[in-house]
Amino acid sequence: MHFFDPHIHMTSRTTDDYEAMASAGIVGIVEPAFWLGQPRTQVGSFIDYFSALIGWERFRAKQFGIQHYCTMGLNPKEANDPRVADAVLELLPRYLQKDGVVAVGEIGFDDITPAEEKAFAAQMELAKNANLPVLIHTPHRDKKKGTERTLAVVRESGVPEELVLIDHNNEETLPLVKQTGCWAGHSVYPDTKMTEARMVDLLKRYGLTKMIVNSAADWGKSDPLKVPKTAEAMRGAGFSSADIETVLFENPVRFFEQSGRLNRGDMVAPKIDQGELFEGNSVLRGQVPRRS
Amino acid sequence: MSVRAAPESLRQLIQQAAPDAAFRAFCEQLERCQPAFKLPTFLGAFTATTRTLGRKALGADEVSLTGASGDLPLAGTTTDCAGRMLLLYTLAQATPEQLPAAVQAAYDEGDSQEKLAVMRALPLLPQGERFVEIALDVGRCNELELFSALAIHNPFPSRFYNELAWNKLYMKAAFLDVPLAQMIGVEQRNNAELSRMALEYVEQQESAGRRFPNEIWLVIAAVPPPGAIGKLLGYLSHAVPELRLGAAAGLERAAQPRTGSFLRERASVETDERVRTVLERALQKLEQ
Repeated sequence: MHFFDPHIHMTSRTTDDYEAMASAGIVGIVEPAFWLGQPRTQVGSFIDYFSALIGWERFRAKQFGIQHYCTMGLNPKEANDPRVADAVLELLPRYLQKDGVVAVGEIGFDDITPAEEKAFAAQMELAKNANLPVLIHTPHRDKKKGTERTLAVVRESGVPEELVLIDHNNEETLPLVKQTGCWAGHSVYPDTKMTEARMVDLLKRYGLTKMIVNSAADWGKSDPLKVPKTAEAMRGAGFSSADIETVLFENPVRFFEQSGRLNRGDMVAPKIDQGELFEGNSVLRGQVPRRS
Repeated sequence: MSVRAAPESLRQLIQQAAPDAAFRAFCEQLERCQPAFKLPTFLGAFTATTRTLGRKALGADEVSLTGASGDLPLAGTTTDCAGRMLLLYTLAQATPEQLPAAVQAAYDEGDSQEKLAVMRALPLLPQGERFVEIALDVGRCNELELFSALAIHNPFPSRFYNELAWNKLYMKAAFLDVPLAQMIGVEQRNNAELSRMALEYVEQQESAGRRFPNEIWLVIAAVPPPGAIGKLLGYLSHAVPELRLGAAAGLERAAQPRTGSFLRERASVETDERVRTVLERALQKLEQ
């Protein structure tokens, strides 16, 4: 069984995680550009972060046979910071051109401020210009209203709804998203957001169409194996292998394939050659390189 | 059998390797970059090359381009990399005053494959000394594919690096297990300090019970530090034939008369054909 985690922040994770993810069957991931926990005070920090997403992190993932894609965007938290917001918006068109950048994101609302809405709308325009899908974060607080506002911004933007993935849904927001043509993302977390059991209930109630599951693992307490763990929960609830494949591989791949920059052939029997690095001066620290 | 060709032949090689429509689309992008050069247009075309041409083998593994900094082997080059090299080379010919800024931006803003193409293009560009800092930056990276684009099959470092920079590049290549035999200019750039560093690396690996590349003996033996010849003679009786082979090649390179009797003795009992051939060659060299 192979899986695709369409939302995971690997720059915050270790090589142990990559190893465990590969062992659990994860063959591809999308790493959305996001807030690093520590506010950035200058645009140069974004340049280096964006460059790492299309450089070093892609290389790290490859060492473990995982195909790494990413999204580029100004996250809603830092959209509120005048020291960086406009400069990052100016920077984005250049990075949206890059190979392996499969969407604009994660963008949207956090505190639902005018500055967030301005950056959100501006980035919907960037997505139209770049012919890219959009990955949209929904807020932790005032979530239902935030999702309603999100869907309104999507409608106003003119971006086709099938090119939009609304993420971090729960029981309250999913009905709103299901009334649109947008895809619905769910972040399965150890304590907050969504659990495997609740996710299974949502799949039973709403079906599998345009339903997407991710781990959203980052620098906080989170679990990079939540996609394969959701597979186990689905199996336990009577879903077939084909159903699991649909939700945990096909759906996210089909969504991001709309970018024209995701090649599913790269994820079939990925070539692992850890001999591409050797001993201390690499992500492997002396262990024997694995080749398959 | 290597074939030397002018950098302009990249265009023909790409045409042969890429589908017609892809090649036409690439040529249109190439033409948009000149004569009215605009940096964003150039960078957009540079980034889009993989999507335009695809990433396939160029099929020119036997061809070396005669670049401004030396001959550049095209072994392993892909169509998108070749396209990016041609974009930079064409810019250097058409609007040379724009070249430094374009190379810097293509590198700074590039993903790993774009940076790799900049490394491959460097030997084709005039006044290569302007781009040494970019190459040094790649020398510090840990992405092996990118590092290798600079370190092997590339005449740029041996042509422009000072001794310290060359030594550091060579040692990192050894450390990363990059095929040292494919580094260009090693023989010309040998120096006593590099031999010392290489021998100490061998000793460090021995202490840790780890392997080291056989080719490193050639660098050590070029200016053998104290203890090096004795160590090489010791490896001649090692149980592993590959290690005996490396030591024999090192002793051939060192060509020290005092090793003659040891070489003769080992040649008489050596069971591995390859090792015996090198030992006999080393003896002939001593007799000349």
